[in-house]
Amino acid sequence: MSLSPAPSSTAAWAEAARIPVPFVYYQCPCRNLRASQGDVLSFDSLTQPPQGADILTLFPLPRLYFCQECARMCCPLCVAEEIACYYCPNCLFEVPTASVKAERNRCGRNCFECPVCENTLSVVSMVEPTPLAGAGGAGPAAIPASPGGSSSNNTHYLTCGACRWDSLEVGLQFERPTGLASQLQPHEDARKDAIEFENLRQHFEKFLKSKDANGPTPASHVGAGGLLRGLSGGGLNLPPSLLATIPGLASFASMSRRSSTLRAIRAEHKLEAYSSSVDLLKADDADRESAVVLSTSVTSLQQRLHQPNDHAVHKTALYPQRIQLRTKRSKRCRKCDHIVVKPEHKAQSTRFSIKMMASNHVPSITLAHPFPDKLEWDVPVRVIVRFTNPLDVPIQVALATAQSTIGTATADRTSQDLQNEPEEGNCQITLLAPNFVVDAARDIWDYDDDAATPAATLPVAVHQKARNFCCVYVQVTPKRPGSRQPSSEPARFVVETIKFSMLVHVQPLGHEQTSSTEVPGPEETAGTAAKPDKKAAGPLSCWVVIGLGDLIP
Amino acid sequence: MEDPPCVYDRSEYIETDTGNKVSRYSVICGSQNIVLGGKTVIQRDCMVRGDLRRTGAGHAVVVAIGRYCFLGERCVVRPPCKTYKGQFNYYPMKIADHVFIGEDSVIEAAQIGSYVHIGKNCIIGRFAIIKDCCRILDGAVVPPNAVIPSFSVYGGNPARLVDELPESIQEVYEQHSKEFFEEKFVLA
Repeated sequence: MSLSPAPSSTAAWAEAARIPVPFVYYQCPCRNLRASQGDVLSFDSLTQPPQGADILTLFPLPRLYFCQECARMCCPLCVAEEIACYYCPNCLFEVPTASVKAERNRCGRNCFECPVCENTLSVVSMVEPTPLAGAGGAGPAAIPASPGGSSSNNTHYLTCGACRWDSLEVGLQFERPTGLASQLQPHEDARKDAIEFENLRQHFEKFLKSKDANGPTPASHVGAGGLLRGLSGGGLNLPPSLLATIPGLASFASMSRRSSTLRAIRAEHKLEAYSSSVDLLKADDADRESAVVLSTSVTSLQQRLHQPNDHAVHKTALYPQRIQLRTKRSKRCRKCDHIVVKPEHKAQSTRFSIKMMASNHVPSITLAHPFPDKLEWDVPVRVIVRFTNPLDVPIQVALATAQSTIGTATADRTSQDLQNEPEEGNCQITLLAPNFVVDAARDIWDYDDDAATPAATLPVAVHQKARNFCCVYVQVTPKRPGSRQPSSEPARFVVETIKFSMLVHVQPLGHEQTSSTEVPGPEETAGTAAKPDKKAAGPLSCWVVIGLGDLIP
Repeated sequence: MEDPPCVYDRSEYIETDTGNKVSRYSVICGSQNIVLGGKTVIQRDCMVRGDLRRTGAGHAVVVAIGRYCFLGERCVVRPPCKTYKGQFNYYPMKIADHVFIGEDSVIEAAQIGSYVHIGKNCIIGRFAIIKDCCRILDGAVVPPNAVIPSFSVYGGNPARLVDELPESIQEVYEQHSKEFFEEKFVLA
């Protein structure tokens, strides 16, 4: 179906990513930035409407950041992330970066994940270890341990509150209810795959060490990372250990050492053959087959991927896993390296020391009520689009559509051109109010005195204007895609999303105009001092894609 | 897309001094044990069980709900219970500010932070802890004792991490809840 040379690109777009309708998505300019290779966004790249392939640069406004240095929006794809802190999502304890690697990115406390349903396991006590009887009525309300009594007799096990799996099924019991990870450590180390990995590591390490002892690596390396290797080996004579202490360069330090030793290994061919000491991973095919037939005892792919050590096939081999850590990340603009988001380091804090969001700089565009009841082909409807101004100065908004590109000659175009063709859209747009002014945002108590502008005095096609928003009409006529592309196969049960793109140009108007009409009070000066990041910015343009609803062609 | 205005009848809602609006068709048990922070809306056929309190004498807050919260139709808010040291007991529940709870959801959480959006038909299990700035998708089943950290989107049965929320979600939810109370929840 999708192999036809020029499928209805709108349908392909809708199928590729189903954005639930109705929606208003903004296009991040990062794709054009990369294409133009320049520092500034050229007029051409800005006025190019979003194409079918640009779906990945479309985001709802709350997801977009704003870089003040570049004066542009940044999407999650065009910011660089750095990990600010690691924490366990269950116990919410912060894990120091130094011990993250040693604990293999998992919580080293008491937090375990159910191997069957990925839920958090809870620890339950049992007075007498009766493995089978205990499994039946297990739960948080199991027989409680007597507070001061013979706690040494108690055993503890893990149980899942969602799927009723418990660790007695795999014969896992604990003597103490705390420090489970450390109690489990010897068991984990005794696993066959762990032993095999350790053996392999020792086997190669022996060799690597002997190479290291042969003397420092020569400085005359060429190739990737050559500069750093030069720094460490020759020129400045930095030892790799020093490089390893610099966070970003640790990998370079180990890489330089490893690659040089590997080269030496290859040259001398002295690596002796490795013979496995444990019989591992030799699953009997017949065994596996019988397991698949009795499919209830076979793990699902999801479960298998959550057992990183051995990808257990049998459900009886599923082991509880320590919970994976999560991160808080700070974000930088990829273009100018300025930080746009910096979270507080405390794991439980939801505050940010730096947070530059586009919603504080770009007017938010929403579809206001009344919304058209239903969409029909070739029947024009009026949509009310609300522009809300977050800035403390009025803004002049200018709108444009991509309509002008429709209907251009396609005879001399190659298929490449067709793919690069701007997204045509499946509706005809008439902007009834292409230019209008949206008033400045003020504190909420300043709004009470002035009511909405009476409808009689409103400019044409402005539905409502009050506070810091302005609602304008846009007339939309859905056009059947068949009329556009008669060659494509007629009956296709694809739902067409009625959507159109619109270029929004925002020009902040200076403070002077507002200060004459307003009486600056003490609250207001305090308010403006509290939010210095909302200062007046330069003009800004972006493409917005508005989806209205689905129609069957 | 903006939410449609929600038109209500003045006779249906009891309005308290602090601006809470509680439907007369909701079931509020043990109202002396329930605290509403103000500007909270409880819609019709909701059930809030303030009578399920800890055994023992004295006044105790069983369900504490903060400001600008919204309980959709047919919600059930019930304090969590467990047997601890041989004794069955209910434990208090705390819901912070700007919490939206969709229709037909059952809440037995121990704690729900601020700026939390819980969808329709959700089940929040006993003693679950939902931190600030979270979203629970429609139809999710959060198992008992689960902890949901900030900026998470949880969905499915049992609920697991599906996505992360953007950093601006606090303002989005705050604006949403305030806008709903001030503008969208209008008299007929």
